[in-house]
Amino acid sequence: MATTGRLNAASKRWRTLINSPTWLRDATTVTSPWRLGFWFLILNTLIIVSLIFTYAKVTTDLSRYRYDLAVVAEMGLGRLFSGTIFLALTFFLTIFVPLRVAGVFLGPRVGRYFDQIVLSGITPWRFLIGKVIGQQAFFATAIAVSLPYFILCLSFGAVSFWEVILCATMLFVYIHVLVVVYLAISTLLSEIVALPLVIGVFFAAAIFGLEHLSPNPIGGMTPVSTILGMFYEDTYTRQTYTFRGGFGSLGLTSSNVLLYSILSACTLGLGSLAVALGPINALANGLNTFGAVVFPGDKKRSSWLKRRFGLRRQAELSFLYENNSTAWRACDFRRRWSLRELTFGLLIASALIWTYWLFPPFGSGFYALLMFLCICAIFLNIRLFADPWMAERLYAKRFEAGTLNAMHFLGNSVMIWLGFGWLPAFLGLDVTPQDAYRGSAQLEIQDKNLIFVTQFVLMGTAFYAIVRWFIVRRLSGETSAFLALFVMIVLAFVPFWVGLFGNLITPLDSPDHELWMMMGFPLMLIESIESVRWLGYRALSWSASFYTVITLLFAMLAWKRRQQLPRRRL
Amino acid sequence: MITANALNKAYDDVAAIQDVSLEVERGQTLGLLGPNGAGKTTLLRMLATLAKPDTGAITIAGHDAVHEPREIRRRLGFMPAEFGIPRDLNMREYMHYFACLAGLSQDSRDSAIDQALELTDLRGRDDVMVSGLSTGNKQRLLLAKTLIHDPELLILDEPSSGLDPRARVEVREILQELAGLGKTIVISSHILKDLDSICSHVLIMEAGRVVLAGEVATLKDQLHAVNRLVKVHVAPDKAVHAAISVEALPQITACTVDTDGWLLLTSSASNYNPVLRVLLDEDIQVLGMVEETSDLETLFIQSTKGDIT
Repeated sequence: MATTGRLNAASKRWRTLINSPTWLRDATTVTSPWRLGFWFLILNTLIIVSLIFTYAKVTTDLSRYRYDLAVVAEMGLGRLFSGTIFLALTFFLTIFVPLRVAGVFLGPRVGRYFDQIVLSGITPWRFLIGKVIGQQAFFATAIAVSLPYFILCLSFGAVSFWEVILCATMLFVYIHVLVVVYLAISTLLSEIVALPLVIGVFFAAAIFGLEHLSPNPIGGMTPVSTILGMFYEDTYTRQTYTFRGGFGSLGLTSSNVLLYSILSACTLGLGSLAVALGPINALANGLNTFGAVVFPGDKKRSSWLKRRFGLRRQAELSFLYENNSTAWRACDFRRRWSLRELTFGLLIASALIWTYWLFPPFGSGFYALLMFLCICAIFLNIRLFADPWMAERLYAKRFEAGTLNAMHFLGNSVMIWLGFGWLPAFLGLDVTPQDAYRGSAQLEIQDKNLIFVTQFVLMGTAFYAIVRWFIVRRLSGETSAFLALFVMIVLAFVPFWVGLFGNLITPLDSPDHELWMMMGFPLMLIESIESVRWLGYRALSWSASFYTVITLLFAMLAWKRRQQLPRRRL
Repeated sequence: MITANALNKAYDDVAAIQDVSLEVERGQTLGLLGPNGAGKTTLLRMLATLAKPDTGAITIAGHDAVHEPREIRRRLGFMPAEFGIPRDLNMREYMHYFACLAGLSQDSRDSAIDQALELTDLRGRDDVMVSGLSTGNKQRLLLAKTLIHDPELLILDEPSSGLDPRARVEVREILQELAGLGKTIVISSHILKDLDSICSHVLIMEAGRVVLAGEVATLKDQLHAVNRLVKVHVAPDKAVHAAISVEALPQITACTVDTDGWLLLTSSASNYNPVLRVLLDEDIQVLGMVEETSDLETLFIQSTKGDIT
């Protein structure tokens, strides 16, 4: 009896959760004839163009490389086309899923009824789950639109129904990753930034997946690499010509799809956690009014600079997060306090498992996670782990918000430095990308790993200081936290281009070449660790000095220009 | 139902609310009056949990507005002065959206929507697109949306703003009906006549402070006892002379003359014989005499000076 009661209660809670007004709104747009026709047109065009492109490429290659003849002969037209359609679907979803999720907060805010949503008492989860359900419906629509092509491919033969199901499963997981990552970023930063960021990063990752750059952890963010496995699985070209080993060049097998799903589940988990926690209330509560926020000097500013989309939005979102249950809110401090340590611990543990158990022949799992975390934590300044307890106390002392951000930023950097810079070397772990180092270079890579992480931290700090200075000098100190992050990401790739450019124009043995390489050293590793193999410790000392000077200079300039937040009244 | 103690709220260096306290019993209708910039909307938004006081405490139905906003929001219906409407929805879809937001189950949603539309006289226009509604009907629809989850407390910010006289009367009648249903209502409006017929209590604000608060009838009586407005009609050519003579009386606190020859007197006593005696002594013929009753407008004008925050 008690069990039935509990089941009924659980069922009622579930019904309430999926009874989301956001889905109610989305349902009409997914199934409206006009939209269906629109998706049909776009997707069909994309598929047809991709098919023509793939066919043209293969036939061109046929005349140049005899290996590819074997590829086509072995894989068959059905396999080639179904793989191409799935790739087209991946790119289509990468663009349109974030576009469809965009506006979940912005729409009501621009439409001026977000306060009504907040006052309805709806929980953030129930509000946002509708967008997830909406994307599932959208995915079903996309699959339905492309179904005739798959039937055609199956009739061509050489591709099994099971393989089609595997690819569809991966795409199903992938759209959830897109939705949750988008929601997490838009919850913590800004939708205006989240949209181009998510589309750009995942699109780039899909391209990386296509290109098979090595080492290629970024390519593993999308199912492209595994779908691509359709093209070369069981052909000898895999070992000989086009494709290299390592993550991102896996065959289309059940275990690899499962692996992709497990790894995506980590992203989904972290993203969901970010969505569940919401904005940092301690900071947002400083602007404890829904709507207009006034700062000193506003009378002198142009109307555009008074808007403060980022902070106002966060403040307003924090009002929505007040609709979480009292029990959930009561644990907010403990959750945030412990999560950083817990998450880093879990990630290190999963990296070890990945390295030793899941990928013993590759040995690049740890390296892949390291890359991913460095980029996330340093260049996105993950606010998820910021500590509201500390923020609240520092806020009361009129610390500048940028200073608090910088403290969180440095905290994260130190964690990464200790965890990923020292720990592998201390434990004597193999963090070698399989195809980058072999044999006697095993010890050297551990030192390189430390250099690499240290440089990431230093470079990230320097960029953060530059951007903060720019923001507080040119704009309001609180205007555009999101802009700071956006610019940071753009700037982060400058040394990458400098390094590449230097590599191209200067002879290998000239001192200039080494100089350019040092500046671009950390991000050069994304492209290939081989290219900086010979640099050694000189790179660390040089770039450490360089980035430290930059950090100090711009930190001083930013401090001089700082703007304090108004004192919070509690 | 509502208790607010010593509320303060500032935007930067501008004090929007200063030391405001109020108490509203269950079933009361409180009217908020004040010139533009008096802090009415800020106060309403704080009561609606959309702004947090810098200092002071608000308790609604036993829950703290700062720490337990969710419990308050469930009991609350807030109608802002300025509002937006989701595009491309008809009235039924709009109401469905907000019914779903309020957490009404699918079974109870339709009947709740029907009731709310019935109460606001919008029933039978389900298919009309929201974007095409007149201002009056938009206000009604917003009110219907506010009522959909049958809230105990209604907070209405300028519900009659921008409405023509007929629509105003209709909205007033709806509010009277709601007050009759025992809802606790806090309402701000510039249209004092509307409030006069709806509110049992009134709170007049100026420059972020409360200048007058209490039961409407009591305040009117008090005002009437202190300052009575009397209109005396004399021949227009003698009006100025009459005014000078009457103004000298100790019971007359103010005296003005209008263009038709009416003397507008504010008297602190109810005995007008001295006034008549002075006029007779001066050989000024009294053509008529009327004692005006006090209303909210009088209360408002006499309580405020037009200061803003």
